[in-house]
Amino acid sequence: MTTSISNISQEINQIISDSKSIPAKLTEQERINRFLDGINDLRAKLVQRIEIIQKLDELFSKLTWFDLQNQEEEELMKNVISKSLTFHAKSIKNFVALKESFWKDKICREEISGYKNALDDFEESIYEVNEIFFKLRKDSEFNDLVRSL
Amino acid sequence: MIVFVTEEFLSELKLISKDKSHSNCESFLIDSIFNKSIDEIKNIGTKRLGGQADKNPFLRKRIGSENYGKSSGYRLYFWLFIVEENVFLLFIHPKTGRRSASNITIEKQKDLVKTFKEYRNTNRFLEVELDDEKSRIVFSKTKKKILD
Repeated sequence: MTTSISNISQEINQIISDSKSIPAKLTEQERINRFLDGINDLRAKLVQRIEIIQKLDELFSKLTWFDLQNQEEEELMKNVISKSLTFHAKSIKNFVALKESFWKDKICREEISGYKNALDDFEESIYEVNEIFFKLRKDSEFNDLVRSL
Repeated sequence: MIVFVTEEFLSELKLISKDKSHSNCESFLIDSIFNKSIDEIKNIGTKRLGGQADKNPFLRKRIGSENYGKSSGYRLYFWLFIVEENVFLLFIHPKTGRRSASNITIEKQKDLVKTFKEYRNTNRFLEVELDDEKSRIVFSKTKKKILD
């Protein structure tokens, strides 16, 4: 074995000499990068959230192409409406928190507005579906009129 | 596809379009109805209020609210006769602004069915189409623009 104490010592010294402590503070550039990464991450999450709400809205439109056939389906519909209203209320609180945190700094304003618009459309759909199934289609005059066409 | 309107629909459309913030109403109508197939009309943001889903549904459709962050568009009420490919436009209102409504009442929706029936029985519907440039809606009979 050709390795000597001297060689190993040299290697140790080299490693120690090359090794730098991790700075306890971020550089300005690192701070900026992290901040920008955070904004991009927030933007992506908002876009994804908007897409989810738009999907829910689309599914609510699809529901109206069916008729309730029995009591079981009525209960199912009431349940989905109730759960959706709860989801909407939670999402509105989430929107308010996001707006409070980011609006004044002009961060992701377009996406935050989009989130609110998607929620408004979804809320409209929930109430509309409720009205269609449990008021309009149960209205005997409306049904007689439609049947008479 | 043939599109028909009532006098009430025309009157509402004129009143809405007078407002500068709703001057885009006609172009949204063209994009959402005239430039779409029956399937697209049915399947994009359209709810069935009543009628038979596969034959002649009575519908409510959101138009002009595709871009988030923009205005909330308009709500359009119409009957669709799928086999005949006829669209009967009955009522429109903006979601925001002076002539807005979050929704029309059940009584109003029943009135729209009555109007549809009356117009159909008395053959009063007015046929409309796009002009040669496909940018304006005109009466099929006279080729006069529905909005001056």
